[in-house]
Amino acid sequence: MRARNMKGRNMAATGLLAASMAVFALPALPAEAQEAHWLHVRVEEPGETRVSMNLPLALVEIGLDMADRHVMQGKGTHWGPEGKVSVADLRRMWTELETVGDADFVEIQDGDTHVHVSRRGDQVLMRIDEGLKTRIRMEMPTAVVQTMLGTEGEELNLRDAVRELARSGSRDILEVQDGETTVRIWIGASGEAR
Amino acid sequence: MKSFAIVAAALTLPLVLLAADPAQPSALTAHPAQPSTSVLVVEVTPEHGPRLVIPVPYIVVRAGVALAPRHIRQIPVPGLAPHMDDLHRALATLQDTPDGVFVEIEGPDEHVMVEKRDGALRVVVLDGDHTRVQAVLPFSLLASARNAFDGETTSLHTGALVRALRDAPRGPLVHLLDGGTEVEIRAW
Repeated sequence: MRARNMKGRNMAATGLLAASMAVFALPALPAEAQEAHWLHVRVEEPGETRVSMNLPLALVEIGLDMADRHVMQGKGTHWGPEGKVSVADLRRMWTELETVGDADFVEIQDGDTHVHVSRRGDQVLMRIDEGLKTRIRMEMPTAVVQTMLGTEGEELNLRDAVRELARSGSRDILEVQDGETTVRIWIGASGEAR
Repeated sequence: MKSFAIVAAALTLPLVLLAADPAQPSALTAHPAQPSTSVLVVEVTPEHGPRLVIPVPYIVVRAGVALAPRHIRQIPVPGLAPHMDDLHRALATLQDTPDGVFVEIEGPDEHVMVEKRDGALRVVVLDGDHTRVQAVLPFSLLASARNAFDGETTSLHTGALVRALRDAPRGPLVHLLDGGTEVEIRAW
């Protein structure tokens, strides 16, 4: 009886300790684990123009909704040279690639141009370099790509993709350097640019 | 007899104005805690000539709209109807969003900024030294103004827009500088 009481007390103490640790560990979570609520865009041309946009992702969602209903109007989206790659084609390609796991999907070396598209863990990475002047880096969580291509038909599911992107936490999405012009797109937890 | 008619008109006019749209809350009871706009001050400073300061009592603006022809009281905007739900959602999202700069474009001679600050959406456009636009759109005004759209007739009721002005916080609403001419509208 006494041993059972001791065991019960130990379990209660362990539970209390675990609960306390969970509570104290919460604020220590890295910023990346917080859901992102803002889309930030910076375009800088030294001596010319500087564009800074900080938009709530909820507003971006509404904008995408409006574009989908009033601009796209079921016209479908096509990609690639001469717009011959349909969303259905992209979906089929993604279904094949998804099963592969970590892999280099595309690697092109043409003169001083280098294009590299790969998957590493839960990220799809794209790197384009043209000599020393042009440099493009893009990172996209695979869950976002999956959500974007997740519906039937010829439309990209951009609205849910934005939600998935928000869930993935603060991160850089696109960085472009073209000569002196730089473009940076990222999402963050606050409206303040970092 | 003539003076009686003037007194009767003066007494009945406010009732006519308040009864113009019974669906809307009375301007007297809508926001009892907030000081409401009683005068719109229009200030015009031309490049040459004297500066004009015209205080327009709110009740005169409202009376003017109430007595205006139908095509001024109801402006058809059928193109707005499909976007109204989205506009309401966007407005609600912006209201819930903390203060900050949403868009800022800086060029050698231009500056455009859209920000949310102190319960208002503020737009600033500067183009060289000659053009300057500053507009303050308080969310209280925008929230009231959204009732101005009548989905059945797909038209904008200018009377409801004017009623929304009543909820505008006191201070500058619009400031324009075009060439040498400057115009400022303030709610007071």
